Amino acid sequence: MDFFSSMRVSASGLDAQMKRMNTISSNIANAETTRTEEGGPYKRKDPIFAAQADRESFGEILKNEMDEKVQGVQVTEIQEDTRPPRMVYQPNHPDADSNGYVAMPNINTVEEMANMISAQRSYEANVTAMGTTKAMAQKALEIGR
Amino acid sequence: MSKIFDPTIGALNTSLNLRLMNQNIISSNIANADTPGYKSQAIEFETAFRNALGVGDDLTVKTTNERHLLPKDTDPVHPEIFDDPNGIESLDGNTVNRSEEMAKLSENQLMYDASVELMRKKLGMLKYGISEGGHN
Amino acid sequence: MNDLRIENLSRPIEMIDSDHGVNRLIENQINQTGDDIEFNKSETKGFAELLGETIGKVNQDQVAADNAIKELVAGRTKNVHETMLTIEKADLSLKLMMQVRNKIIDAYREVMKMQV
Repeated sequence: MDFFSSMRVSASGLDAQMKRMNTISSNIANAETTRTEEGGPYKRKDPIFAAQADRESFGEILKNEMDEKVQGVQVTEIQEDTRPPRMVYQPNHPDADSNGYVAMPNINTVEEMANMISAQRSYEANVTAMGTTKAMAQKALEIGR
Repeated sequence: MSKIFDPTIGALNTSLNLRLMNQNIISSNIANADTPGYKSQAIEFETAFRNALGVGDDLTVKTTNERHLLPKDTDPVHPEIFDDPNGIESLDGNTVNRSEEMAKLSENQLMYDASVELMRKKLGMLKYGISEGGHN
Repeated sequence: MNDLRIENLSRPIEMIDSDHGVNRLIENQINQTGDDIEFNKSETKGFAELLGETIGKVNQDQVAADNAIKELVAGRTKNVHETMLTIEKADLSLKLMMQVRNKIIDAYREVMKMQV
């Protein structure tokens, strides 16, 4: 049990929130994208978080219950939103279908902004946690002073 | 040699260990604040502390025989880590309360620092006694 | 503290110049603060009592500090500043006793150096 597992956990949190930020930025930037490589409009992307036990190497036997409970976070996959796209009536658009409707990405910018703020807060919380851990470790060095 | 290290130094050592564990738990909670289905974890301090030192309710040492000496400095610590019962589940099953975790973080750091300071003071008093206050 | 009133302090040169004035000041100080410690006529008995009392008080302070630490660490009290104060008192009383003990040892050595 040491300070470093706490730092690794916080680091994993930072990493996960950064990935979340990236997907949110991608969503906002592509809010009006009607063409993609796979065909069809851009699909909204969402990260899936999963708790992951902090282990230095796979296959290492967990020493005690404590090791099990300390868990970092990991982005297991980026899920694509399966909701149907928004249909907007724009007959002059080059991507309009036979009825004049264009399939626009189903991205709600307000929702993305709220997610972005939440991601930022989580990121800052993890930064604070890591800073606190570091301060505690440095304080421990002062015991013999 | 270890006769000069009284149980209080052992108590402070235990406190530092417990606070470090708590730091790990709180970091886990903060990192997993958005993970669906994650339950917020917590450590119960008073029982963990008492178990580690073998002390009774009034914080005096329990001995089975009157002639037993004081217990050894520290016992290995195995606190109970359990799902925080006060956690309120949000839509995705996550029970982490962000603001509370931040508050716990501050409190934990303060208590850790206090333990370090107290340890320094106690060891300082020992050092002072050993050096006879600089008397030649 | 009678001699340390403001009116008296306006005559510092007079007070410091004359030996008599300084002695008076010091005597007053000792009389004011000597409530805790009793000075006996016989020197050796006075020292032993003095040491015994001081050691007893220092031990009390140490025990109080230990209890305060245990309370804080077990989470029974959240009063950090009181704990800090208690242990600081123990620390200072230990240092005071140590210095008193050193002075006593020095005085003893000085006495032993005297040619009879």
